[in-house]
Amino acid sequence: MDIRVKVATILLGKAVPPLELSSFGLEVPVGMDVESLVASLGIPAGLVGSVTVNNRRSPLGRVLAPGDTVAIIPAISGG
Amino acid sequence: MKEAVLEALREAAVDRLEGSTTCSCLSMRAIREIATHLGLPCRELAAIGLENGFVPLRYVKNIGTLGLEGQATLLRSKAVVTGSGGIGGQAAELLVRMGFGAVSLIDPDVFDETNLNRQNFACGDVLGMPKVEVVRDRLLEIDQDVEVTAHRLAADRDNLPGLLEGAGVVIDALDNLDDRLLLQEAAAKQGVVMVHGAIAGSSLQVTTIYPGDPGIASFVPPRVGTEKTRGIEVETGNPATTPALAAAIQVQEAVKALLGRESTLRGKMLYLDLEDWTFEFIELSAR
Repeated sequence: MDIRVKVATILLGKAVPPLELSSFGLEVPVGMDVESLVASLGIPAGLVGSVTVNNRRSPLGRVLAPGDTVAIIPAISGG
Repeated sequence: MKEAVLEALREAAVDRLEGSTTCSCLSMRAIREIATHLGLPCRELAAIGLENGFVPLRYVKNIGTLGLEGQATLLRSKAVVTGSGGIGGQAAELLVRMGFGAVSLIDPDVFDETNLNRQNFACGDVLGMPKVEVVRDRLLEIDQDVEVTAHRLAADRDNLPGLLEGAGVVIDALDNLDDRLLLQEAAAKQGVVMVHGAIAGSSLQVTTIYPGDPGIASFVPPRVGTEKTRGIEVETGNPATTPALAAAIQVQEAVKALLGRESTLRGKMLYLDLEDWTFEFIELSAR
């Protein structure tokens, strides 16, 4: 199934291997959850503060649906 | 007494055309002279003036946005700024220029060379000096009639209730998630609106938290070990632009909260990515 993924730019270089685009379409297996998506993109889980699905903050166990837009945002706390 | 005040203000006021509106304006000097003559604090006199149609020149460019009543409300309000670093120093200046009558600063640190890239008022000649004292002195240079209180200490569970007393709003300019959560709890208990802001690299986030709102609670992971919980800024650092932008958004939210205007950032976290100019509004919910 196809989903849309947005990754905060400061996470791109932290992925292993690094990601090049901050916004892209992706085909993923039916039944994939948020946590598996983050892992499959090589983004270290410890750097992720929030994942939203269709603009709503979602638990890592949420199962994705076709057409979802997923945004992966880091935990930030600098002042 | 009130008639004497109004008579003095009428005599001192000078008409000035602002857009299509003629404003009766008061100079800084006139306010000081009248206040001294009548034995009133300058801030109080300025507030009375605003409530009766007289605009201190200092605020004349605010009035089209805030209104006379709104400007008077800010003059009678206190904002607390927790942290006097990148966000805090910028926010403190903006609060004074917007017209908050009282600003309280809290930070335990002194300025060092690594602060020079982004922290307002960090200059070569103040390195080693307490941030809150430097910021306080600069704020008083901008407006000597603002009540500025400098607390050189780290905000914690014990001292926050006292530090937040009398405040209408608190700007969260802290640098770790544990302290931010403590602040949210204390602000909620004291009935104070908290405007959270955080930065990392080319990104920032802001949300406005009213007492009882879920706020950032769901963002803060359980503390591991003795180190305070930080984010990706440990890797990305913090350049000059993001604290200034975060502070501007936070102060705008603080003003809206004080004036009773609806906040679109209540219950939502704005995450702004300056690298690709995208933003997210993340709907917040309880943990």
